[in-house]
Amino acid sequence: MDITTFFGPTWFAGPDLYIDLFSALVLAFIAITAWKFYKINNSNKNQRNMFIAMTFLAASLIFKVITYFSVYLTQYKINMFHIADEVVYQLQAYNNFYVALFLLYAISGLIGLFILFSILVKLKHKSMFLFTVYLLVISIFLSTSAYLSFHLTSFILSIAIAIFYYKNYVKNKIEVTKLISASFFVLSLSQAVFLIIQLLSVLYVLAELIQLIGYILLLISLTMVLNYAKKKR
Amino acid sequence: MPKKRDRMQIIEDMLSAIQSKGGEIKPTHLMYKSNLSHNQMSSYLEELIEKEFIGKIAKKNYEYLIITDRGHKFLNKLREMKEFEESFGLS
Repeated sequence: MDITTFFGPTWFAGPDLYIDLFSALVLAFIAITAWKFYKINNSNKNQRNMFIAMTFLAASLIFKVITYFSVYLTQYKINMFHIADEVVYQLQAYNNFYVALFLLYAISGLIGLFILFSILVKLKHKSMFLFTVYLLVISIFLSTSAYLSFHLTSFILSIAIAIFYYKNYVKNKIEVTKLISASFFVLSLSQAVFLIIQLLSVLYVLAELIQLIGYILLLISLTMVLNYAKKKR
Repeated sequence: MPKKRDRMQIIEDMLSAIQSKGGEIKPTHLMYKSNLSHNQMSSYLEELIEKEFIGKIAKKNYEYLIITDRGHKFLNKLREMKEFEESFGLS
């Protein structure tokens, strides 16, 4: 397993973590909302599954923040001693700590996206669900590049989720569903850009900014849902 | 074929029916407006009164059912939940 992670320019080391923390907060907000509604009506298991999916996704971003923060801290220390002074750098994480954190980030992200996907496709069979999760996890471990494998699978799952939401919008004509679909399209685009940042490190900045737009759209969607219900009163 | 209403949908319909009538309604009107049989309504009403979502008052020799503040808040939560479920594809 190759855990080579690609980073952006050094001036962006820090602001990117704020974007990821904001994204994790949006996901946690949705998770809490789903859990609150599940407590009211526990017959709807989709609410519980939504809570689990969003918790996995939020946890994934928290793991990313910890991983990258550790790397930035290490790089900062190296720069202090003038051992290296690179604008763009690549980390070959031999350290078990980085490997473990990266794997937690990737695996929890993929599981979260797959749970959300399985809610939308109404996947009923638990064995099918577990088998697919196994395949997702094994794809990270056995791929030649865990980084590329993770972002490629995330891209495919995100775009599938966006398409399902768009189909739901066509069926139910709820404007918020269209916005949720748009946010997942934007998030899938950010995954596509993450895939190619090895070509040009500044693309990492672009990917993070696109991700920020995606999560802002998701936050607006949730706010609209909660406010729309109040207006009906 | 219309989908069978679940328990939460029935409770929402009952509370909405009272709210749409300005906050108070006669029991028979509630039964018709929420499309329930007498037995069904009695069972739901008992639960909603126990939870203090609905109260009873007497007016001009008639008994009226009123929606309480707790009932208003709960109805709002149910509407939020419904919006959330429909928008996020959870229903």
